[in-house]
Amino acid sequence: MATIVGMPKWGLAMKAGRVVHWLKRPGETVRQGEPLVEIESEKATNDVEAPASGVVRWLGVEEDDMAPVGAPLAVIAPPEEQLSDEQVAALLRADEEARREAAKRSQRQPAGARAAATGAGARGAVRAATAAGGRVNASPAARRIAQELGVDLATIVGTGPGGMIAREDVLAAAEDQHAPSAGEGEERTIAVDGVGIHCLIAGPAGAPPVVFVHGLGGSLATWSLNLPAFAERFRICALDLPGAGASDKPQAGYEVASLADTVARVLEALGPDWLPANLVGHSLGGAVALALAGRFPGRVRRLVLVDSAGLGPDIDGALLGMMREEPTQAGVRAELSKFFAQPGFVQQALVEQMYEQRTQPGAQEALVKTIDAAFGGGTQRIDLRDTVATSPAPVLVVWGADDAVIPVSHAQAATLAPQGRVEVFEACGHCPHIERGEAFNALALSFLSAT
Amino acid sequence: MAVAIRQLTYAQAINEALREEMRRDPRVILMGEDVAGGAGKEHPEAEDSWGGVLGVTKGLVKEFGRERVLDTPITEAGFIGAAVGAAATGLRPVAELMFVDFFGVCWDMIFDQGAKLRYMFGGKARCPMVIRTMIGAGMGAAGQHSGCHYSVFTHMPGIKTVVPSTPADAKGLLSAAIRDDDLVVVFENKMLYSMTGEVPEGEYVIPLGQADVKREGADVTIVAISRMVHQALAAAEALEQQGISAEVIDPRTLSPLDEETILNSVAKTHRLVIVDEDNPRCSVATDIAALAADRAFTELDAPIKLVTAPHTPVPFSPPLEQFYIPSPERIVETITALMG
Repeated sequence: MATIVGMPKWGLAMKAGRVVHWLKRPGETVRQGEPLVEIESEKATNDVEAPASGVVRWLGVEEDDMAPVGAPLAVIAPPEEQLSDEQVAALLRADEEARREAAKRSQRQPAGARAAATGAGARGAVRAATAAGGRVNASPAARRIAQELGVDLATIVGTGPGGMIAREDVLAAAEDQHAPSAGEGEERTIAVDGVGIHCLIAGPAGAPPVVFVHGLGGSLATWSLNLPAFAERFRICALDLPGAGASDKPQAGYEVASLADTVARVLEALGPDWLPANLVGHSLGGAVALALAGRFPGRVRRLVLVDSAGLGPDIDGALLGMMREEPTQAGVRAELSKFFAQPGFVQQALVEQMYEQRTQPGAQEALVKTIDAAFGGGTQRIDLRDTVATSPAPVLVVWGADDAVIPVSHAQAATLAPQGRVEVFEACGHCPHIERGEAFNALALSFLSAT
Repeated sequence: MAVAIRQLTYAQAINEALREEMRRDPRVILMGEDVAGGAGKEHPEAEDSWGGVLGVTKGLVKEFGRERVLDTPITEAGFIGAAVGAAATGLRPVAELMFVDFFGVCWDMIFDQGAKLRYMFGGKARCPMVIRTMIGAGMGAAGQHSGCHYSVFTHMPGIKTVVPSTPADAKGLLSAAIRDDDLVVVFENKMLYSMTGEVPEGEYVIPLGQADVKREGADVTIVAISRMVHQALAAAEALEQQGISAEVIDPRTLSPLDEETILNSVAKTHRLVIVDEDNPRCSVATDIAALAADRAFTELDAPIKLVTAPHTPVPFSPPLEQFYIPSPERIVETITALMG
């Protein structure tokens, strides 16, 4: 049985990838797990490993060419299998057909019905999972996992003995329910007073909402290591602040209070499901989230502040000076190196992506206005510690111990909060959500899941 | 380190453990009905001495003499009581209770004397004795010579209970029991005595309280006791043909019980079946089921099932006796139904 290797999907925003370098050529033998091809996405360059052992039979994309996520890159055949060109072509046609069908299915049916259909089809039996008394017939393990994954047992057909919903039925339903939303995400631009705000929305409809606000000089791409994990359990919206990323760059409105109002207006536009929302803010985005919470306390459920501005006077003035300069790749690289404790995180792809954003029309002007408003004079001009102290929403403050941009001592502000908690990551810089992505996700998910 | 392995029967492995422990420690003595045999005959230490009703202790009297291998009258209350006294005063007796079904006549000596000594003397007294006893149906020995009854002993605090299922386990566990400072009852399944298996050369002990995963699997955990380990392994073979992967756990000792190995396995497979030849009420099987229900409830993907003997004595009728013993077929049937 031959195996088709498709373009991987790294993170919510990835739509296509570029083949940098083939590490194996047609006719070469490859072992399962061995690097096959180097792929570059917006965020990173990584090796794709061979999913099976065999002989590389076909390569579909030339080096330096782009291909959409899921597109076939290569065919690996077992050594004893002699595939003709016609057979390879037939295999690829069947694969394309299957992907088209899957895409159609995921648009057509609600998740629960789909889970039911596949569950029943797989085991060849359809039985009612609900007993006569109306109580759902599910195993203890199925109940626990359904609760953890936010799956409604009433929508699942059980395939266990007597129609009981078993663990695997819930896992299948959860995969079905979450895969399209977590995998795809939806990009939208919401107009606030004529300023287009670019958002990425994902996660199961009806799940509790989480809104992500990036920091100075960043964009929603800063959360690419976090969004997939959150979108499994939460309805998420990551937005580009005015002047940043793919949002519009207006002439004014870069004060923290205005930015907070803009985010609040975006949530209003998204609809009643988004209130109250959990807010996750990084650096300047933390101050924006806090300002929003201060102005509209009823709209915020829980706050996660990551190396946040607004909690003390200090900030690295030299960095601000560098950001004011006209952007060059070397300059962007030097800025980025201040963000991480471990130099390995400053990759060329990240530098290029940041540089590209910074050189968009109006982006540099917007950045300078944002710096002037929040950090003019090389010090933090916004102090939101009173908001922390009076916050009815529980506050989680996360910090990197070696943050060279805003010192970790500012994390103390969390102790002011009626319900505050601090977590400091050792040997970590200004971006724990990147440098300690998995640990950050686990921490913040657990905090946001608390009731 | 390479350890030489040879084939021994379960009975030979027990005999070897006794011999090695008696060589190692002069305080170890054997006592019981006909454990030497031939008393009153002209050549009592001859090779053809009985060596117990099924010959498990054969030949030991020849090496260690009648001072250390004591034939006792047919009075369990007397010699088990004597063993408790010997243990309390410095020896390490290994008493043989021929069939476990006889425990009723010496129960006071076991559970009210031996098992409580250490507790009632605040640890200053000890009872380093072993009772070896035969269990199990299948030999046509009828209701008074075929029970298992280790559940009764396991219920009592102060008694350690050991249920070896293979020759290698029998040797290592008996050696550990003899070196243990508490009252340990080793239940030997008479149907296993002639079973052969690999046994390492030389002395070794298997610590009490360590279960053994006899077969690894992913879909269902079978906890099986004593001879039932082999029924479970046969069932696992048959289930594999149906694409069901069964893990077989042999607790090896029931008190102490290796709870973690069982719970870890349930967390992996999410299904639990307990196979036990003992009577099912208030038994080791129900105890393990309660353990999983209590501590692994949210791991369970199916009801816990017991495959046990019925709540009756062992019947004499050969067909009924076969029906009484949990069979691989019943285990397969139970698990197939469980998988849906």
